Amino acid sequence: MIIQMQGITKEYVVGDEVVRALRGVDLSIKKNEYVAIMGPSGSGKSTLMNIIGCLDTPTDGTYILNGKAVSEMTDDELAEARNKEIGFVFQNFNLLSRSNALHNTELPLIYAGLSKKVRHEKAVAALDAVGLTQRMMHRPNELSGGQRQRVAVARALVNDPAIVLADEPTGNLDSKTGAEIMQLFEHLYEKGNTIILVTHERDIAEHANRVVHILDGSIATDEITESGINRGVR
Amino acid sequence: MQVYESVSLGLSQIRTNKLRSILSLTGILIAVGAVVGLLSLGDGLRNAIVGEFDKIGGTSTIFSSGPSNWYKDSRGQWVRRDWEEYLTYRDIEAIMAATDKVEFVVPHVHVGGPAWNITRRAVSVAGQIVCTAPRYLFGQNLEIEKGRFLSTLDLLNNAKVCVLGYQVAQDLFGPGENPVGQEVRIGSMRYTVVGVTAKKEFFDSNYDDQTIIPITTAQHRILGNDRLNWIRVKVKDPKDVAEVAQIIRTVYRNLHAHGEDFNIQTGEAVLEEINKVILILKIVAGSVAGISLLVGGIGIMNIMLVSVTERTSEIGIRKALGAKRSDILWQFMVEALVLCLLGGILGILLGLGIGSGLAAFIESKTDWIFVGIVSVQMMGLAVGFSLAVGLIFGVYPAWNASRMSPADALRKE
Repeated sequence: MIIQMQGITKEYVVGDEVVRALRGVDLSIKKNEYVAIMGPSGSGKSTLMNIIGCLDTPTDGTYILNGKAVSEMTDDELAEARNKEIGFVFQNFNLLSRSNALHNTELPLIYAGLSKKVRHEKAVAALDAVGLTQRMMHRPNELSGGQRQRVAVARALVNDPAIVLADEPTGNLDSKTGAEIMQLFEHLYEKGNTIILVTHERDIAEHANRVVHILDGSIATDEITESGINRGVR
Repeated sequence: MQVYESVSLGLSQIRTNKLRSILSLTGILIAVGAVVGLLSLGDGLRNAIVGEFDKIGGTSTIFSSGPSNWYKDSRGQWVRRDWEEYLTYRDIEAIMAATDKVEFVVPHVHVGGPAWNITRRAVSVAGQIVCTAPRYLFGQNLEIEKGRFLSTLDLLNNAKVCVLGYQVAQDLFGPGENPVGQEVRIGSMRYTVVGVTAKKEFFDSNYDDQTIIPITTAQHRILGNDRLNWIRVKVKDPKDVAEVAQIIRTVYRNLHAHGEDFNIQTGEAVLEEINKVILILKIVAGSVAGISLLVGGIGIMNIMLVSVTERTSEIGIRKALGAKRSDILWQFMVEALVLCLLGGILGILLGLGIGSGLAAFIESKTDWIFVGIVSVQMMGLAVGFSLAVGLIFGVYPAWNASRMSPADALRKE
């Protein structure tokens, strides 16, 4: 198991009110799974993604990521988990606008403490893998939306994370470019990566083998998709 | 993350926001410039004063005088003495007999004042009367322009002769006439002018306004006693000043019932006093400059706070990719430190400019040799101070940045 969640709750205090964003989520994800998390806005889907991505900690419950208990981690340990275990792909790309594609891709490696030479090699290889060899020295504003998201994917993969966590990765792309990015994820999955896709679009979720529906802070349904059945997942 | 990464990140941040960076480091630049400029002038002033001081004998001189009539008792109250002690010619002879390390001794007597009228025919000028001995000429590094200085014979005879200061001679005789051999009246007595001293300026330049008469003439013809107000001992080798001062003390103790109450002051001690005054000046100037450093620091903090708010999403991205709190903290700290360091280094250059400019201005207004002095320590201090300002005023914004929750920071656009 890469992800083991049990009784995860998350409460926010907004003014005098306590908002219960997650009300006891149990979720397990194995290595090389392709899971989509779906739900309408306000369902707790984003909160769950933040917790999975170690960007936030649960109020209660246990979360074990790749054998380590996230719920008991310190700030620095969380940072390390984000660095080593998670590769993020965001809806709005979240690239550093003043840095070129290569430097953006290198960022996780800088925080991993790798030497300049190794960083350069790995980043070039990662950009190569997403087909951006020719555009390494371009800044995000000199790249198309699809190219930016490819940089983000390269950055997500560069430090060999346990899971790739993509939050509405096609949300800001036209359908053709979106399809290209989804193909890229497919490819990553086939190479053995574990992919978690957070989306509210059913046809995007259909790419995954398994769809988890979140409603009002709990898991409503957890089922194998058609693609999953086609790929022989049980 | 390595320090190198933080530094290069901070530098690139400063490069991309050139105008803002320049504006924010201007505060530090001006403050450090002011500190360096003022302190260099302080040291220059000290050197100029010491230079002037050396012209009148400097550190190889020992002043001594009888005890003052008033003293502080054990309760800290000023009380008039019921006994009197004063220096006489006997003390000078004893000092000369006690050591061969003394080059010469100059006695001095006050004849009241501050000003006496020196009159020639209908023209009268007010001036100070100095009652002394032939050695005074060398003791004060004075030079004779016309005629001669006082002689030993003048002293033996209580002669009614005088040497006029440069300005006194100008005022009484004008440029065309030779005063030597002529008569002037000081108070009610007539004196023959035997010489005129050359022009000499020292601080308020009273050398040119004084009139010198033999000390014995003052004692026997004006005052009617043998008192000396103070004597100046010039030591051959400045190294021996402390030793000679000790000998003088012993002489006074042997010759007087209250010899230990006599004042003995070395040039060294005078220098110390000068240093104290300069130190106070430097502290005052430094405090003023320190306030501007504070203002500069607040400017840096302001810019850093804006920069942190502006780059919230960048902080979120970096944290999501594995930046620890300390990484973010250092990124912003380095930015503040580099800004302040740059400001400090440019400020030193500005300060050098200010210092040498003002020094040249002072030189043009006085005849002092005035050079602003900037020591390596001072530059180190200036750089250290600006780094401290960066540290103090950068830490709060950087701390703010490092404490941001990555989820919240990412949500902001």
